[in-house]
Amino acid sequence: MEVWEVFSRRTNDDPLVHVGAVSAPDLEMALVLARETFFRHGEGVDCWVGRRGDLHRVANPETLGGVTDKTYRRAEGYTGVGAKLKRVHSELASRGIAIDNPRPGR
Amino acid sequence: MTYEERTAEFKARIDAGEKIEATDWMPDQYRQAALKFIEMHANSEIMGALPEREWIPRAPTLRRKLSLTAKVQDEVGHAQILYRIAEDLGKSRDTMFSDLVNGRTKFHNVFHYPTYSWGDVALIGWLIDGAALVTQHALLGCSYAPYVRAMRRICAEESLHLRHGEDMTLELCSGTDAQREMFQDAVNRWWRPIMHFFGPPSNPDKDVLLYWGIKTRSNEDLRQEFFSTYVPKLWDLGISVPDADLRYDTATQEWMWGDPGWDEFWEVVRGNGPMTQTRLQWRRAMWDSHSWMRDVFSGIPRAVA
Repeated sequence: MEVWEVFSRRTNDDPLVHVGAVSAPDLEMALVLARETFFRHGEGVDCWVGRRGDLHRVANPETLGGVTDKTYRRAEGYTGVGAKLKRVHSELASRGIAIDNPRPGR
Repeated sequence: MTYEERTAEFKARIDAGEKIEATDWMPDQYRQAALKFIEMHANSEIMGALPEREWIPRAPTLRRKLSLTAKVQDEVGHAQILYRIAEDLGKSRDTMFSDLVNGRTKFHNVFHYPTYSWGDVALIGWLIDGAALVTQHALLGCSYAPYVRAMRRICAEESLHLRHGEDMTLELCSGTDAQREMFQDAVNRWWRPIMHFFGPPSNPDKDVLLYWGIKTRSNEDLRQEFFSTYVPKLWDLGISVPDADLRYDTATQEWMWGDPGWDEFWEVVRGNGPMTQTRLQWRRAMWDSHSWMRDVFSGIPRAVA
């Protein structure tokens, strides 16, 4: 018996997501068991299986994305930009630099 | 079932909002249109990294240098994801790269222009990425499922780039007169290419990409959204737009805009832009000098000792 990892697509445009595993002697049986175990209630529109031994985990997953400060690669590195826009706008408006032309929503 | 019947059935699936997978049967016209579109997108990502890359050594602070490097990496990463999807539509990556560097396929018009100052970097990060994000958001409704999944990821990263670009823009616009002039100068030079970016107003009924649901919104529709999102922000920052005819008509609720010189657009997309050859030469030089690495990865047999 081998372990087969099972992946599902919930709707047609979703990515494959790991939903669990089945034990089966061969591919045909793995597909049957995956179908019967995880999709009886119509949980997805697509199902894939792969031998556990054919899937490989990355080494040291805790280092994914780097171990030093890389907030400049993430949204949290830019929090406050929206507020800054408002602040800069009100400052430029008070200096008479902002341009006040007709625009949507006014 | 005849080819015409299968095609009609396929078209009905698309009209019903169904998504197409790489393994599905598809008419030749759909495959070709999707491939051409996605390949052009991939080309644009990899060529789009070049104008900004030129500024990594000249970034004003370490933080800006890191941010810009990360963004350039993201753009190249997008190209890798997109080329993989295009490959599944039937064209090899080697052929796509060779067609790109030999000028047989296209990349977006905005990447054919030079960058003169840090103001250009802020502008690209904010307005060019903003324009790209308007078009890319519209692609989340594309009929080709693998592309939609890629676009979800790409849009998330582009939103981050937009913040990064907005941050740089705000820094310049709230700075000294020289900094403000630097950004205004960038807007003055880039506005026409940005108008060109959305393409000429076209007849949606004759657009093969709209017909197959590869694109879901017309050029003009996207341009109007871009105006509504970014023009008021530019004005709020006291930055003028170099188009005397640009105004929002409150009665029709539409933006009116002037002719951006479409002859220049056609010249650029034909490969005659100011930086087209320089950038393609760079790309070609990289392609050639890295060939040994592709050979290693593709498993050329080891010499026997």
